[in-house]
Amino acid sequence: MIRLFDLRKTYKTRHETLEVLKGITLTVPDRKFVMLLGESGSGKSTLANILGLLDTPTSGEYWLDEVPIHTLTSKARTDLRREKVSFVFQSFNLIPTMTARENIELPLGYRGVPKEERGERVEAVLREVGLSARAAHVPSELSGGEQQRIAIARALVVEPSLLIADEPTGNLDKSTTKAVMETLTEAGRGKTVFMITHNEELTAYADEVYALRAGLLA
Amino acid sequence: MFLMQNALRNIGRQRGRYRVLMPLLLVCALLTGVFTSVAVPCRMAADRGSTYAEALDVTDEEVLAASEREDRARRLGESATLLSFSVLLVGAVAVLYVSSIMIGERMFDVGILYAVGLSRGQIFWTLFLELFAACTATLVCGLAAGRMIAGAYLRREIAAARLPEGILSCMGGGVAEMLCLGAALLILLIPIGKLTVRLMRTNPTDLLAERK
Repeated sequence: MIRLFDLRKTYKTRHETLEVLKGITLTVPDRKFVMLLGESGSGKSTLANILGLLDTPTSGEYWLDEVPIHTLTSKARTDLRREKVSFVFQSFNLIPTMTARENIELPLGYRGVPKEERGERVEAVLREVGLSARAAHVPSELSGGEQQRIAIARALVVEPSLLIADEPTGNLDKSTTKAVMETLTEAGRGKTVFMITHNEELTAYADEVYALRAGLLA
Repeated sequence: MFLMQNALRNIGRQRGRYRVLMPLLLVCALLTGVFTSVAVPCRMAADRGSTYAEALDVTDEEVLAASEREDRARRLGESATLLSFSVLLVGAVAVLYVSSIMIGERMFDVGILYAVGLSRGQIFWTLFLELFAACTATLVCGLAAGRMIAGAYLRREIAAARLPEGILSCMGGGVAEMLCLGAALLILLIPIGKLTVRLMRTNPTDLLAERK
């Protein structure tokens, strides 16, 4: 479960102080598909980075599965992120020199999963996203939709409890968006999925929808 | 173990300018190896020329001929030394340049590695191993090949100039090459320091935002 209390994030530049999140209070139950709508610059990605433990809030409280994230050290946050959180990004963020299979295997390898188990889990997740036949291809040989499905497979292979998807369909056309959303909802079942988008047509896939305007939940 | 495997796998699959510069580094190491391996025995042969002549208990004419050979060996040794240092300098610049480009290009992957769950420490070791293994493997290969080529060249030169066969033993146990390698590894400390500073100062979320 995610619980946020008066969460704020401020960026200081040389000339000004920019308050991106102005006090977010939110509770997201387990295993829900939550969608966050918002225009560019509304603070969506900042919130996603904080929820995904990539960034820290300036003030306020963030509880993830009853763990007070706002009190953790950087190392403890990294350990928890590795254990519980996965990401899917707008720009796929696959490593271009690695094949689809190697990209998916990467987070497992760094978690010390034995080689045989890694192979089995990668094959299983490739089947789940329907791309077993494309496993030996590098990202440049895959279409945008296929790259995003590989990125989803990479996020799911570590069996996270929280999946953060930051504009996962932002670079895709309409038909590919549908395929990616179906993969995300099917494969993400049983996990808390927190998806950010500015596409209101996608809200049909979500259990709960929130809107972020100028750093505040509407 | 996976960290090391991954770093080694990445070496063979680099992209962009790095792919072009890696052969340059190999060529520099090869030439450094050749010239170092030629320079050391030739200079030593020149220094020992008189000793050889005396040891052989030869006539005046032969002493004169030995003196000519000594001059020839000295000239050969001096040119090879000069070339060796020049190439070593180019090689050092190449190591520095290749490694900084490599760090620059791999920094794009840092955000991804961070997002898939790696700590800054793991990211550092991945990049460090890649950098270290790529540069040292190239240099070792270059120096070893250079030594082989130099050996073949010296044998021909010995036969042509009637220099004593014994000078081949002056090639030593690879001490000169080890010194070259040591110098290159010392040079590597600069990009490794740069990598550390960049990793400490960079916020991985900024790198991810750049890729959007």
